[in-house]
Amino acid sequence: MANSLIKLLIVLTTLFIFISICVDCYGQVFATINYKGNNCYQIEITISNKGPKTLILEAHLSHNNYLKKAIPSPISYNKRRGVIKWILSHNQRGHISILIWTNKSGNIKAFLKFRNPLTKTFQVIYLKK
Amino acid sequence: MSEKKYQIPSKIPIDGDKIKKRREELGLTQLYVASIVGVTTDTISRWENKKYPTIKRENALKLAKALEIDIIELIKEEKKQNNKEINEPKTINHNVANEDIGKIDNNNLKAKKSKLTITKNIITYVFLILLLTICVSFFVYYRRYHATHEVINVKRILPHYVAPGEKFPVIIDINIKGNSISSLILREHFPDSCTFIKSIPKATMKNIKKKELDWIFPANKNKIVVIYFLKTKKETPINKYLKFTGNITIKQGRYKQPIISNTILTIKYIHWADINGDLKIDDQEILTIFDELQGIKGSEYGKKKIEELWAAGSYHWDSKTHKFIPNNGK
Repeated sequence: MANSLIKLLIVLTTLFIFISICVDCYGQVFATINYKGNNCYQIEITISNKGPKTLILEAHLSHNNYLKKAIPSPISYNKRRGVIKWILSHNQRGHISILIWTNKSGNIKAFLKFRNPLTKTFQVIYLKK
Repeated sequence: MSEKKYQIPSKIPIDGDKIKKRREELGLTQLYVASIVGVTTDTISRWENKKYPTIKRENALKLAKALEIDIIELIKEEKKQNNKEINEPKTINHNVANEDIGKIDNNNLKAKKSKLTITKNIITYVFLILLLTICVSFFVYYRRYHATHEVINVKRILPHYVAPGEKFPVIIDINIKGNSISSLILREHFPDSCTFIKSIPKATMKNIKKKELDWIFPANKNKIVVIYFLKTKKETPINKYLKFTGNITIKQGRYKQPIISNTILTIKYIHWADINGDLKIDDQEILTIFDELQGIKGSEYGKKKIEELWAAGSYHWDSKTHKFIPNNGK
């Protein structure tokens, strides 16, 4: 009987830890950066249910590489530093796609910044292609 | 006759009836037996009346000798049947029948182990019951506490700074815990140096002269967020603190709670979205503002202006135009 109770306690503890992990995963953000060819890069952002509503995307182009076009239009573009900035409010499905056309192919880095809706802490995701 | 070395336990379980019967068969008195064994007559009486379930090995051997029987005859039947194993000896030469005696020690050990296990189980039970009691007590206390005392958690979120003649938002965040709440009234008094622009949701009652706003909310809500926009007067002196007061009242005035602000709002040439007042709207600040005001139209709180100042990196106040100008290229 005592052993059964101990087992039950272990199961409940495991369940509690599992639920805690799930709660911690609440509001996750996944992002990828891909080269689509023709000097075009695509950044795809997927936000899980009840994730952050507002995100900042900062793309850094390599030296001598400049922006020709971007969809959606960025908030700012610093040509000298090659920094492009967006403020994104995601749609109902929590999926955002950004297309960047540059004058030539090269390395591109991106930083995705947002506030965790649960912990209210500031988080940054680093991407590179 | 084969002789083996066996271990005799230090304590031997005896059968009182057998001792008494054998003594009476031989016609011996308790005094006689006591004198042979070297104990008192009381002890013999207690052995016979099963008041002592076990006796010392030495006494058992002496008693067997006095009663002219083998020591095995003194041992309780059930114990004899259980004997199976023999361990390393403590040297004593004896009859083969005595091999069972050696095993009694093992049984005693097993009995002790069994007692120990039972004790452990009891401790485990007590611990689990205690744990359960603590959990239940905590749960009951938590429920009661939230149902009677900490029903409403309300706070006013103000910007840290605002420039003269600028529009800014005030957020009232109400969290209701428990189900015992009835409808509530939210009453806000804003400073004289501000003019009211708009509120979401719309105020149930406005008294612009008294600078008072009222909202009535039904009972079936656990979270209420009220946002209202004010504009400071251009002539408001710099470094002046703006004082806000307000309270929430539950039906029939049974419960009244003041609304506490998160900060003191100061008049300075700093944009209201610049939380730390460093003349820069950084990533964390813009995300905080946009997250707090999600669902509100951007035009209502100057979203584009905030984006512009954020993108520029820094800004300054232009006293001629009475506007914030982004420091582009700096």
